[in-house]
Amino acid sequence: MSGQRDEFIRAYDEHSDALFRYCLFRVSDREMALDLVQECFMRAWNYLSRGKEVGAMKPFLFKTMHNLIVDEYRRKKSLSLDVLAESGFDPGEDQSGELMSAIDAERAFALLAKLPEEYREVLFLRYVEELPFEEIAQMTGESKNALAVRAHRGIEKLRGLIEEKV
Amino acid sequence: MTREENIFNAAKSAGLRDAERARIRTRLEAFVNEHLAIVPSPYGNLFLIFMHRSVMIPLSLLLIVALSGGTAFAAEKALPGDTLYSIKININERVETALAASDLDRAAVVAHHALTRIAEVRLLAAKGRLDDVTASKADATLAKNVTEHAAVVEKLTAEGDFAAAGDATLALETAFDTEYQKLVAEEKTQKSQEKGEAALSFIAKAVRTYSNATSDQRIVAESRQLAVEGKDRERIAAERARDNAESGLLAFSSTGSAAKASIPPESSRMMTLFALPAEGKDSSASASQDTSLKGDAMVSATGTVSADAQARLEEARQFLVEGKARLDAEAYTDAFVFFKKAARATADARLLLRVANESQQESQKGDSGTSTSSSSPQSVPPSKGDAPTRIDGSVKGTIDLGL
Repeated sequence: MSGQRDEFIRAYDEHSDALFRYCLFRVSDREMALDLVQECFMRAWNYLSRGKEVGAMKPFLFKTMHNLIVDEYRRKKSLSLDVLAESGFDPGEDQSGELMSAIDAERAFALLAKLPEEYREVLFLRYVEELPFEEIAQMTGESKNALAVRAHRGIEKLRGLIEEKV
Repeated sequence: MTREENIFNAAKSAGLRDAERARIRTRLEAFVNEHLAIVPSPYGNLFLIFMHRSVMIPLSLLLIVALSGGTAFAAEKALPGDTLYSIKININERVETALAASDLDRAAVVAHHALTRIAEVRLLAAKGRLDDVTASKADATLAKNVTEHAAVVEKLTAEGDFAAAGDATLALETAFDTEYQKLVAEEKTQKSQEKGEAALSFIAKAVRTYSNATSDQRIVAESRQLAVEGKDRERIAAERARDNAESGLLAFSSTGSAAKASIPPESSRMMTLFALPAEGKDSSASASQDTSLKGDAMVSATGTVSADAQARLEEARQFLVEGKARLDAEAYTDAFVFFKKAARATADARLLLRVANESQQESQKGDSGTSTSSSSPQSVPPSKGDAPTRIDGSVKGTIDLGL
């Protein structure tokens, strides 16, 4: 059990930033994203401590986080990426503490938030979090092919947004 | 690299701040350790929080025993109201504090003592010995511990060791947060009824009161650190803190805050537990000691929570206004402090409203069609600056942020 505990804490060290980033992108509320990251890991540990097994930790954690965010949407129906796009948010600091990177992150988030809803998540998970389509499909319950096509269209839309900005 | 790749790479740089990562990790470790234990010790969690300091305290105890014989050892298990309690507080704990190797260690030892007060209250409640006298003794000692901790943090800040000051406040803040998480978990699992009621009330109030005070100290330490880093860094940090505070408040006003602020005419114990007593009266505390909590007493407690949340939001708005004035005057550090306080007050209000919301859901589940007419919505005391109106059988308090 002690080995499993240490492995779990290592998983936190390894994946907490990615999960937080994904959550922040979806909920656009830093405090709520912090709460959900904590909740995600606690739920994951509850699952593991009951003797259940998971294949790979990263997709399991992302799936748990995805479910938490969906629950939160359903419960409050108050999370809006439009708020993020209009009012901005605090993206935190990157690992190196470079302020410019944090500012860039804010701009990048705001731009991605302007994409139509159906493209946002798949682009973020595929190209920011670098999850394979297979794992995204497991998270969202959609087919790999559908996701790949949507990601391709999403890239086109993003290009269009960049062109508008230039 | 394409422009799209640049966007994705930039997004990748967002992440947790070091303090946030550490805070969640500490809570997670406590949670994981708690769920490893088969027979949890009432003191177990407290030691886990400060595991890296844990060697120091037993060593201190050995020294105390060597010097004083068995009395000091026996006093270790004393609770407020016991004859030996003053020995535990005035001798044992003072020796432990005096033996701390550094100010940061001293802060950790004192924080451990503060949490021991909370464990004592739990034990008193379990033994059926928690009454006004013992609770008051525990509270007075806890206040002393927190004051002592604050003094150490002030010393660290005055000496320019801002990182240590920040760590010390974060440790106590995190410990209080952990107690809050346990409190919520206990409430959800209905572990504690009757005897635990007063203990939960005590802990909830202690967590809110002292956690907010500690947070203020952390903000000051952070602002001092900024002042050292230069004007540009101060300005940027102040602007970011402003954006954060504004978006927190906007989340209330633009994303369905009215629904969050909806306060039912009846509620669960959690609402009463989190309502701090208003100045000059202690309606929530007296209500919390009544385990039946029905009728007007519950309505009164509900109203207190609503007013408390409104008051915190109003405070947040004032802090924001003050911060903006300081920002315009290029007093960036002061502005940073006000914006951080605004964010903290908003988070506090959110906590109160979340508790209210959960209570509403619980009461709806529990009622399952049962009439709740014993508590008339009209009897809810009006919230600060805004009279509640009855909407479909519930009391809805609107929140005017004035933004």
